[in-house]
Amino acid sequence: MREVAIAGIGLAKFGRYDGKKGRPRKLYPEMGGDAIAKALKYANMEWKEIQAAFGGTYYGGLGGTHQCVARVGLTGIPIVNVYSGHSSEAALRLAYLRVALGVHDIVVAVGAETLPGGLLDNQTMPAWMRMMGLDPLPAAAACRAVRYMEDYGATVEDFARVSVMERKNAALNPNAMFQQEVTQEEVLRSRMIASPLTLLMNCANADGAAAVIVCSKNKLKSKKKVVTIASMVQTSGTYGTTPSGGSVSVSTKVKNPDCIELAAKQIWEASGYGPEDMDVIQVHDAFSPAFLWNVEKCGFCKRGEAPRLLKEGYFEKDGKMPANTDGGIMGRGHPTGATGIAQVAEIFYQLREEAGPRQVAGAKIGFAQGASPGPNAVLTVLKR
Amino acid sequence: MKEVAIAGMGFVKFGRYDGQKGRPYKEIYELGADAITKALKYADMEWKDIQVAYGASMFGGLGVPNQCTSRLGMPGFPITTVEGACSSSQQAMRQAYLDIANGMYDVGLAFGTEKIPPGLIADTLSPVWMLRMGFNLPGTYALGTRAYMQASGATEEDMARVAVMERKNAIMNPNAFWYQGPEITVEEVLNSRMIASPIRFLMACANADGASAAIVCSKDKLKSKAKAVTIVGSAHATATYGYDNLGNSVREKMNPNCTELACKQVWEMSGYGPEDMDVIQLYEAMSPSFLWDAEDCGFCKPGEAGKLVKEGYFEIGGKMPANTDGGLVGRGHPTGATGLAQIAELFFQLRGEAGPRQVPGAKIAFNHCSGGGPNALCHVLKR
Repeated sequence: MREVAIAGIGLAKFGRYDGKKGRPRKLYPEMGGDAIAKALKYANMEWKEIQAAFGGTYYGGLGGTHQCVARVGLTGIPIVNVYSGHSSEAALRLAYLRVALGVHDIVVAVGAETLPGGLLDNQTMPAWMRMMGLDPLPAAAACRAVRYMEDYGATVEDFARVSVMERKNAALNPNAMFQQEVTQEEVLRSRMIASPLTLLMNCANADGAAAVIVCSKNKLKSKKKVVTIASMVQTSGTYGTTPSGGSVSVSTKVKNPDCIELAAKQIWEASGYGPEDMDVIQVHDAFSPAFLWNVEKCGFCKRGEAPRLLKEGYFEKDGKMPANTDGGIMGRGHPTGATGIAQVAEIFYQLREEAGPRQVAGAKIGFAQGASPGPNAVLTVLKR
Repeated sequence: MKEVAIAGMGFVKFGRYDGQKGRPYKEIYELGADAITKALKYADMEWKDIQVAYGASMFGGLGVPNQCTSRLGMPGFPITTVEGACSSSQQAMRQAYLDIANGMYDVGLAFGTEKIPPGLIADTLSPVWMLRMGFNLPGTYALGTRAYMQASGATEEDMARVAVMERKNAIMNPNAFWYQGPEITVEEVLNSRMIASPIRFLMACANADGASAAIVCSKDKLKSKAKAVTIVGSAHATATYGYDNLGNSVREKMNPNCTELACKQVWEMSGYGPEDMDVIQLYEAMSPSFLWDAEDCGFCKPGEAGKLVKEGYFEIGGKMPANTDGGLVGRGHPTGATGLAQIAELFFQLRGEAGPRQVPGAKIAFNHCSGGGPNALCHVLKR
C-alpha cells in the first residue's frame, strides 16, 4: 500500500446555522461546499485535481455529498455517499484506502450536517427496539453509563469532570460550538436528560461541515511538516453487543471484545505503534461517560482506571496524554456527519503545530477515534 | 490488479411485503438477510468467509445494512453503508470490487434492501426550492423525456413499446414484480393514467420491496471454477455541467453526461465495445429513459433507439437482448436493491441459468445503472 498524506483540511465552525436569534442561516450543502473550498485552499490545490469524493451526512437525506460537491464543481468524478458511523470517518477511510491502493491519487472526503433539534434516535435498531423506546441515543448511553458505574465504581462526578475538561479546551478552539467553560457544579445541576446523564453530559446538536483532502505523498504541493496516515481501521459489531455498541444486556462473565476493542487491537498491530507512543489523542464521546470507557477500550489505560487518571489531570492539555484538545464532541458540538473528520482534523492541526493556544508541544504522532451506532468503529493513527 | 469474480447472487422476489391483502409481511432487514443467505448458499461459502461488506438502502434509514448483517452474525468486519439513490447497491458492489481487485480483501459482500413507500417518490436530492415547486421523480423524468423527444423525434408509442417489451420479459422471471403477467399492449400503455406528461402509469416502474446480494471475490477464492463470471470493467461517474440530478438535460447537449462518461471509461477499461456484448441491462425507472440510455451507452446512434425497439432489436431473440428480466418497469424497483438485481440477471444469463429468458451462448454482458445525484455506473461482466 502507498503512503497517504493529508494535504489539507477545511472546517466550518460548528454551531447553529438556523437563521434564528440572529444566527446565520446555512444548509449543509453550502457548509460542505465551503469546507471543501477551505481544504482545497489549505492544500493549495484546485478542484479539477480531485479524482473522487466520499462523504456523508447523517440526517441530510440522499445524495448529501453530491449536493456539497455541486457547489464546488461538476467534473464527473465518482462520488460515494457513506452512512456508516457518523459518516465522515468511514468516508475518510474509503478515501484513504482508494489512494493507498492506487485507485486514485487525490481524493476528498467531506461530512456535513444540518441537525434537527431534540433527542436523536438510533436508526440502526430494529423496529421492535425502537417501539420499546430504546432508540433515543441518550437513553442507550445512560444504560451503558449505569453499567459502567456498576462495573468499575465510576461516579457522576467523574462524568462531570469530562465535560469540564472538554469545555475548557473548547474555549480555546475558534471552531468549537461552545466558547465558555463550565464548572462541575453546573454540569451536575443541569437538567436531567436520561438518568444519570444531565444536559451538560450530552453533546449538543450542532450544524457544521468538515472536509479533508488525502493524496499520495508525491502529489503534495508542499513537503513541509507532512502529515501521513500511518494506519486506519474499521470494524463493526461483534457477538454480544447492541446496535449502540455497548453490551448492556450481556453478562459480565462474557468477555468478547466489542468493535472498539477489536479495532484498537487491529490498529496497534497494523501501525506498529502502541497507545503509549501517542502524543495527542481524540476520543469519541457524544456523552461524557463514553470518554472514560473509550480511552480504556482503545488501550490508553486499564479498564476502570480512566476516572482516576482524569481526576489527576492525565488527559488535560498539559497532562501525560492530552485528549480532545479541541473540546471533543462535548465542547465542539456534534454535527454527526461532520464529526468523524473533525476528530482527525484536530490531530492534523496538532501535528502541524497549528493548534494555537491548544498546541501540545512537539506532537508527532496522534490518534483519533470515531464511533457510532451500528455499531461501527473507525480508528486513525496520524504521524508527522 | 487481481481478477474479481462474482461467486454468488441472492435475490428476494421483488413485490410487496407489507402484510396487506394476503401478502406476507417482512421487515427490511429480513429481506436483506434472506438475500445474503441465498448468495452465500449459491457461492457455497460461509458467513465467516466474508471479510468486508458494503450495504445499501435508500429509504430504510441509516443503519439498515448493520441490521441485515447482524441477523447472520456479528464478526466485526467493516460494514459500510453507501448510498447512491437508485444505484446504491451497485455502488456497494463497486466498492467491494475495488477492495478485492487491489488486494485489500479476498471475499466481499455487497447487498441492497428496500421497503418503499407508495406513491410518487420525491427527489430529495433537489434543492428545497425545487421540491417546493413539485419536482418529484416522474416530474423530473418528464422534463428529460420532453427534451429527448424534441431532439430525437421519439414518440409516445416508442416509450410504450419499451414498457410492453419489458413486461413481456418479466412474465418469465420468477423474481419479477410482474412475474406471470399480465402482458400489456401499446394501447393499454397509452391509455393508462397520466402521471407526468408524457409519462403514463404503465411507463413507470412499480414501487416494490425486495433485496439483492452479491458475493464478490478474487478468482482464486471461488469454490467452483466452472462458468466463472468475472468483472472486467467497472466505472462510476457523476454530474457534469449542464445536467440535472438525474443526469438528464433539458437543454441541448454541451458535453458528455455521466452515462457517456462512465461508458467511455468502462469500454476503455474492459477493452470491449458495445458491439461485443451478448446481453445488456439498461436502467429505466421510466420507460423513455431506456431509449436515451441505449444511445448514450453506444448501442445505437442518437435518435435511433425508438426505431430499433420497434424492429425488435432489443428483444430476447433480437440482435442485442436488453433487460431480459423485465428491467425496472417489469421487475419492479426497490430502489436500494435494483443495482444488484440488474447484475444478477446478467450473472444468471452468463451462467446459462436464466431459464426461459436465456440468451443462448451469452458470454459478455454490459450493465448500466443510474441513480439520483446523478450517478452512472457501468459494468462489463464476462464468463
